[in-house]
Order: sequence, then structure tokens, then C-alpha cells
Amino acid sequence: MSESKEQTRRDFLLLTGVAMTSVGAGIAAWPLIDSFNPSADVLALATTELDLSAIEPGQAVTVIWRGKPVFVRHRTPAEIQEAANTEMNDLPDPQSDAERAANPEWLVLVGICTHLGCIPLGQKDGDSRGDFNGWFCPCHGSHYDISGRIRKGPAPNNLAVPEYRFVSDTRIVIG
Amino acid sequence: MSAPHTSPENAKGVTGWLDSRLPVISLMNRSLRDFPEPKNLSYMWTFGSLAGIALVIMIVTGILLAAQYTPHVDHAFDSVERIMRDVNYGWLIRYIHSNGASFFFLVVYIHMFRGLYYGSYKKPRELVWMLGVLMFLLMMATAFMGYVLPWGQMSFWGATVITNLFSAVPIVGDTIVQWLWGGFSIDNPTLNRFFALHYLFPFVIVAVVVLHIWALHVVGSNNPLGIDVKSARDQVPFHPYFTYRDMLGLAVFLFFFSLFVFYAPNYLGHPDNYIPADPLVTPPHIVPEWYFLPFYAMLRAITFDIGIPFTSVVFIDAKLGGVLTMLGAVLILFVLPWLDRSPVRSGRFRPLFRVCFWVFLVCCVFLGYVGARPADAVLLGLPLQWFGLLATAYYFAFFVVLLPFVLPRVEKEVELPASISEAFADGVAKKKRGKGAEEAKA
Amino acid sequence: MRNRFASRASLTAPTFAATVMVSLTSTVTVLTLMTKKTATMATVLIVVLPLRSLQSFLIQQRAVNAGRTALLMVSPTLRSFQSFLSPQRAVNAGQANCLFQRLTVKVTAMAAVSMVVLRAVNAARTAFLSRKLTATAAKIAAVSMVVLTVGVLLSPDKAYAAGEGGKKPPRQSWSFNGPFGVFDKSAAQRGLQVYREVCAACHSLKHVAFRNIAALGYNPDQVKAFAAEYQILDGPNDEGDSFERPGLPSDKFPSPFPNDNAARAANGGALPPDLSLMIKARAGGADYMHALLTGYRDAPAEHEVGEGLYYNPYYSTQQLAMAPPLTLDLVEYADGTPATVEQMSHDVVNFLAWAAEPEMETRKATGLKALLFLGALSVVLLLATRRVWSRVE
Repeated sequence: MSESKEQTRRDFLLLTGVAMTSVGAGIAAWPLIDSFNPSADVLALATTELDLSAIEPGQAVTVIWRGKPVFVRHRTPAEIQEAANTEMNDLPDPQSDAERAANPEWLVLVGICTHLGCIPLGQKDGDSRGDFNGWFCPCHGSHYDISGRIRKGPAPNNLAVPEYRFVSDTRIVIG
Repeated sequence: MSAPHTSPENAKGVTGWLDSRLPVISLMNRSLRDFPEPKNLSYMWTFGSLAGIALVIMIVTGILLAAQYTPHVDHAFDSVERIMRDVNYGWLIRYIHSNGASFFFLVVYIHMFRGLYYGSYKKPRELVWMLGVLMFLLMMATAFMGYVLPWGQMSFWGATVITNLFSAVPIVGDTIVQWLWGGFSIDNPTLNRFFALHYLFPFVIVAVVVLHIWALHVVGSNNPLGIDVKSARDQVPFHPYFTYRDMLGLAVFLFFFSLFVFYAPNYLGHPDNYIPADPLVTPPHIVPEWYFLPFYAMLRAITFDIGIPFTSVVFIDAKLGGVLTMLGAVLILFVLPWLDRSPVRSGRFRPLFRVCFWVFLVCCVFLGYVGARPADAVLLGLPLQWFGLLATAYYFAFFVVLLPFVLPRVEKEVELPASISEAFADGVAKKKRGKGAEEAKA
Repeated sequence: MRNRFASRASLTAPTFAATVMVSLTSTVTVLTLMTKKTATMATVLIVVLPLRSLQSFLIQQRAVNAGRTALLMVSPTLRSFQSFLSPQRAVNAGQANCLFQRLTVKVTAMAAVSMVVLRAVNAARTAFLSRKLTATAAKIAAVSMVVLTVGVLLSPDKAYAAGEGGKKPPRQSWSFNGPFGVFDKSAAQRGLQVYREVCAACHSLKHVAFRNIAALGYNPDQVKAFAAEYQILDGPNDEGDSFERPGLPSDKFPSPFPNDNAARAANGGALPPDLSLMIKARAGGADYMHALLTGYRDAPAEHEVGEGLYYNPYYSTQQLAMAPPLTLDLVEYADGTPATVEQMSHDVVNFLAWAAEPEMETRKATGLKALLFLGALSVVLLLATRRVWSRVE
């Protein structure tokens, strides 16, 4: 009787020791793993704020956000109309314009072609804007429309819309 | 090594499949579970495994730091500050690494002095000891190059002073120094190669650790009595006896380690290393990290030329003399197994050796103190360097005079116990008697 | 001492040959040390070679110096005795007897500690420890006593030892001291104001970003507004030019000078150091900084102050190029705190202490958890180990 009690107590102590050591090792591992996550200085650059007041209708600007180009276009009423009236059946990656631009006047896109990562043309005056009056990727000839949707060429998807929000009527925060 | 070891218990299942093809599991079992250790090992024998764990801690934190560090003279200091301020837990990882170096050395020093006291270097463990000394040398090189990487003032000037030691080599000295620098002063190429080697050397140490343990497991551990294992009764298996004991040692070690990492992370460092390296301004006095201080003191203790007395013939000038002394202090450890001629291993049964040993230990600590003080420091009205020279003389005399010549002639060893198990049983009985007496008293 | 250059020059071919011979001989000696003859040879070599140093010692009139040092050894004893008789004179006795007095204090302290420790060991032994454990404890105590005595007796006051002439700064009680120390945020906020309005004219703070000051208790809007008050040099723009824009929280504090040379040129050749790590980069840390900022005074008559320098007893050379930076009411605190020199110094040191170690509070808090856990783990493992070993006879 006393021997088995002894045995239990011993097992308990030994198991507690091993368990605590393992838990300790596990907790100690976290800081080591976490050090590979984005650091404070990287996170500080994770959002980009942009003043829209200087962008006239029909103009576009490119800003850098998380190391990538972001296209911001102030669309004209005609362009908005054109984007809204597109037939869904014509689209390889169907998406309505309303889904892509919360405020139809402003279109915000990640300026990276979804085919192989080139930067499409169409931001500057005189750039080729492709067959659909939006953007044109010169690498392999992908044509995007005025909503950033893929219309023709090898790219599989529409240009991505980054996470952004309006902090006032004329300012947006991307990210 | 030996033929595949297949015991019934691990012959089945996935482990059995693996083990019959690559006997790693048997190897682990043999060396970490069933390996017989003398049952009278004291807590002084925990420091070997602690050193191994310290090495692992250093390698893990080191790799993570390397992932964030930039080895370029223009960015090194700033990248370390980025680690301290912006990288998640970067401050923790860096403080573990910088204090870890100190604690690694502390553990290794205790391990070495233990080996010295109990004669663990003697036949048949000469190779175990020599591999250990080799690791110590590699550690010193690694630690030195690592200290250069933050590119602070002490990094830069420490590197300048230490690399300049090689200029003491006759004729080719300056060529060697240029080769080490990759230029005409410590600069970007130096920083880059130190980074590359600082990353490489720990893995070389790991390889030597494997050999060290392999060699140890061929001959078995020494023990506080220093007598050979005579029967299985003298031994206990590694697990659970030493697994638990080593875990306890680790927990206590980490406790003290944490005190430094969390509450005094810069206590062992030098404030000057938070000033970016400036090749045009030398700090008032350049001090190496504490673990190099005894050797640094020996370097500085030699302030005289060595030649034929009463002539102007100089064989070794003071600078080379200092370098040789410092180098010799480590290299002499390689031949220690042949310098100590007493057949008795443990200092417990060598009354005179014991005295010499403690004086030796005090000398080493004192040399550390001398190394920390400025070169023109004064102790009791006399130049501190003189005391340093005296301690250096004893350091070498201990190895080349006392151990081989004096002690074997004058020392009368105490009679050795018959066997480990007998002595151990005596100890247990005494302890019980003591307890009984105390209870009776109460 | 022999001129180093002279000794290097004397390293001609014959000397080199001799050096090689000696090293060869010693290598052979070590290799064959087991035989008696060579061992004797080695001993002879070891004994003879240092004779050379004795000779140079005798020749180069060191004996004269030795005589002087012997005298010096006696004199502190005399002076200290004298100071015991007349305390007033002790003050004037100067630094010479300082060493002896410090030694006396330390010896007394060590003796007291040793007695306490030995008593404790003795008590513990009769109380509950086994004899083996007592022996171990006694040994540990003995070793640590030796190490401690050697260490304490000989320890210089770190960094204020001879050679670094600065006066020892008095200890202050900072809120961030100790294991539970935290930053005094309102002091640090005021310190930020002092930095911005006073120090920043010359000193950079380049490792600190605007976003970091959120840790001092500012909300995101305040941080943004604070950053926007600075103009940051950015670029190149599409035309390839640099341009200035308002600061963002992600920017670091801009430096007052475009580069170190410009900073030197504007400050009479002295480079105003970056302040981000100042508290960690000076022995004495915050105490030193506070002492330095408040320590400017007129130089004593016998002290000659260099051209364009200012006397400050706490600085390593007692004179520095930085003019006294703080004067009464130099800044106007928003919270109405009177801006005395003492107050501004206290505040800016608080701010710089945070700037140097922004992780300090997290570090200490994490440390407490780690220690509690490791303490508990040690106890459990001690019990477990004892259990395991209890069955070994």
C-alpha cells in the first residue's frame, strides 16, 4: 500500500517536471518564431495615406504601398458609365464595377499584372491604355478595362483592389 | 561504429523499421538512456551538458540574429539597433545572445576547472580533454569575431588590437595582418569575413562536440573519486538519473542567466560599444570581454625582451613574448595529460595538488582583474603589471614545474577507496546516521 | 622600458635565426618532455630566460623607482592614521590616502559579511542540512569568499578609476531603476519638449521614430500631428530631385546636420553625439547625464580651461565643448511645471533613458515571469531528482 503510494507520488513529480520543462520550452520558442513576423518598422509602413484633392477627373497617380505600386484613378462620368454598363458575359473574371469601387469616382488598384507580375501601362498621358481604354500590360499583352478588369490577353484575374478606406472626402488610407 | 544494435523492444513498428536501416534510435538509447555513468558523480558534472545546451542556445539565437543583421560598416550598428527596437522580441534574442556568450564561457570554465581538479584529463581520457581544449580555442575565436559584429567602438578597437597581435610574428607579421584584414585597416572586408566565420565556427564546434562525446563514451566518465569503475554496481544508467539532474541544472542555470538577460543585460558589456565605431577616435582604455581578461593580462604582463642576459642579444622582443605567452597559456593545456605525472586522478586524494590548484584558480581570477585595469594601474603602491607577471609565472609554473617535477617527488597521496559503490554506500550510510542523530537530538 | 621601435629594428637576420632556434628548441623540449634530460633542459631555459628581465630591471634604474614606491606604500598608512586623529585634516589629505581608506572600509565590510555567512552556514548545518551538503556549502562559501574578497578588495569604482578623470556622479533615484522600474511618462513627455527645443539644435536622435513616442502616452492623432511639424527630406521624385515633405509617424527624428562633417564644422570641430543611446553609452548612465547637465560651474582657480571649452567636473577631461545647455525658464512646460535647470535635466534624462531602452518595461515584466517560472521549475525538478536518486544505495 505505502509502496504504491510512493510510486504514485514519484510518478507525479517526474511527470510534472517533464511537463513543466516542455511547456517552458514551448513558451520560449514563441519569441524566436515571432521574430520572423513583420517588425514594427515594417508595420509602420503598412499603410499609405493619400490626399486626393489634387487629382483632377481623368487623371491617375501611382503611389507606393508595401513596396508595390498602387494606381489611383479619378474617373470621368463617361468612364464610370462605361465601367458600369459592361456586360458580365464579356468578362473572363466576372465582377461588377460596384464591387470594385465603393465610390465610383475613385478606382484604387494594385498595379501589378495578374499574369506574371509586370506593371501595366496606362497611368501617364501618352501611355498605351489597351483596347478597353484602361490599362495595358506590355509584357504579354493583357488588356484591362476602366474598372481594372481583365478583358483580353493571358492574365487570369482582374487587377487586385487593395484594402482602403476614406478617412475624409479627399483622403484615403490604403492598407 | 559497432554492428547494428537490435533489441526486441525497438525492432517493431516505424522505429524498428528505421532502426534496422539506420540505427539512430539504438544510438540515442545507448548514449542518452542506457549509458552507464558512475553513480557518485557530483553536480560539478552537470556543466558539460549545460555547455552543450548553451551552444545550442547560441546557435539558435545567432541564426535568428543573422537573419536581421547587415554585415556592412555603414549598416551594422544601425541594423543591431533595429533588432533592439523594431524586430519582434529582437531585444530578447540579442540580449540572450550577448549574455549567452558570457554564460557559455562561465560554464565552460567551470567544466574545465572541474576536469583539472579531478584529473579528468588523465589516461585514458587524454583525447577527450584535448578535443575540449580545441573547442575552447574555437570558442575564443568565435566569441572574438562575434564581438566585432555590432560595430561599436569596443568592437572596432578590440578587433584592431587583437588582429595586431599577429604583427608580432617575425618577418611575415604585417603580411598576415593584411591578410586577416583584407585591406590596410579594419574595414568592410574584415567585418564581412568575421561575420562569415562567426557563422561557420559554431558548427565546427558542434562537430568537435560530437567527437568529444564519442571519445568520452568510449572510455566513460571520470568521477569525483577518480578511480576506475570496477563493476556494474558502481554505475547507474544515464536515464533517469542524469536526465533529471541535468534538467535541474539547466533550470537553475537559466534562472541566473535570466537575471542578467532581463535585469542587467549590459552589465557584462562595455558602454563604449553603444557608440558607433569611429576609426579616428580610440577609447581611453580598450578592454576585452571578461572571459578574455586573464589572457589579456598575460599579454600585457610581458613588458621585457627575452635574450641572453647581460648582452644586447634579443631572441624574443616584448611584443612577441606577450603574444607567445598568451597563446602558450591555452596551448599548454593540450599537453597537460603528459605534464601531470601522478597516477592518482582526483584532487581529493592529493593534498598538495589541492593547494596548488586553489592557488592556480585564484591566480586566474586575479589575472582577470589585472586585465580589466588600465596598463598603468597601481596596487599597494606597486605597478599592477608586476603582480600580473607573478600570477602569469605561477600559471606556467603550475603546468611545467609543479605538476611534472615537484608534486611527484614531494606529495604523499591519501589512500584511495576500494570502489565507487563502497564509498557511495558509506556516504549514504553516513547521511542516514547523521539524520538519525539529528532526529534523536530533537 | 625599452623603446618599442628600437627593439623592432633590432630584429635583424641573426636575431631572427636565433628566435627560430629558440622556438624549435622549445618545441622539441615540449615534445620530448617525458624524458628526464630534456625536462631538465627546459627548466634551465625557463629559469635563465627571465634573468634577462631582471638584468634590464637593475640596469635601467628601476631600483630607484622601487625605493620610491616602497616609501609610497608606507605613507598612506601614516596619513590615514593621521586622518584618524584629526578628521578635519583628512579632508585635505587628498587622494593619496583615499585608497587606504577605501581598503579599510572594504576589509571591514568583508569581515562582517564573512562572519554572517559563516554563522549562517553553521546554523544551517545544525538545523537541517546533511553533512555532505554542509561540506559542499562550506566549500562554495569558501570559494565565493575568496573570489569576492579578491574582487571587492581590488575592485576599482568602475570607470571612475585613475585615467578617467570625471568626478563620480551622485546616485539619483530614477523611477526606471530597480527590477520593477517604469518610466515616468509625464517627465519623459516634458523631456521630449526639452530635447526638441534645446538639444535638437545640435544633437540627432536618429534611432527613434516619431511612432515610438506613442509609448510615452500620446494617442495616434497626437503622434501624427507631432510628426507633421517636422520637415523630412525625401526623394528623389519623378524629376530626380530631393524634396521636403511633412513628417509621418514612420519617419525617424531628422538630424540637425546633413552629415557628421557639417556637424563638426558648425560646432568648432567637436561632433555633438547622437542621443538615442546616450544613457547606455556612458558609464554611470542616467546619473552621469543628470550630473553633467547640472554640473557646469566656474572652474576652480588652479584649473585652466581651454579656449572655447567649459568647465564641468563630471566630464572625463573636466572641460567640454558643449556650452551649458540649460538655463532657468528656457522652455515653457504646458503642465505648468517650473522649468528649473534641475527639472529640465531630470526630464530630459527621463526621456533619453526611454529613448535608449524603449523595451525596458517589457523586458523587466517578462523577466519576472521567467524567473517565477524557472524558480518553480527548479523546485519541482529538485524534488523529482531527489526522488529518482533516493532509490540508489
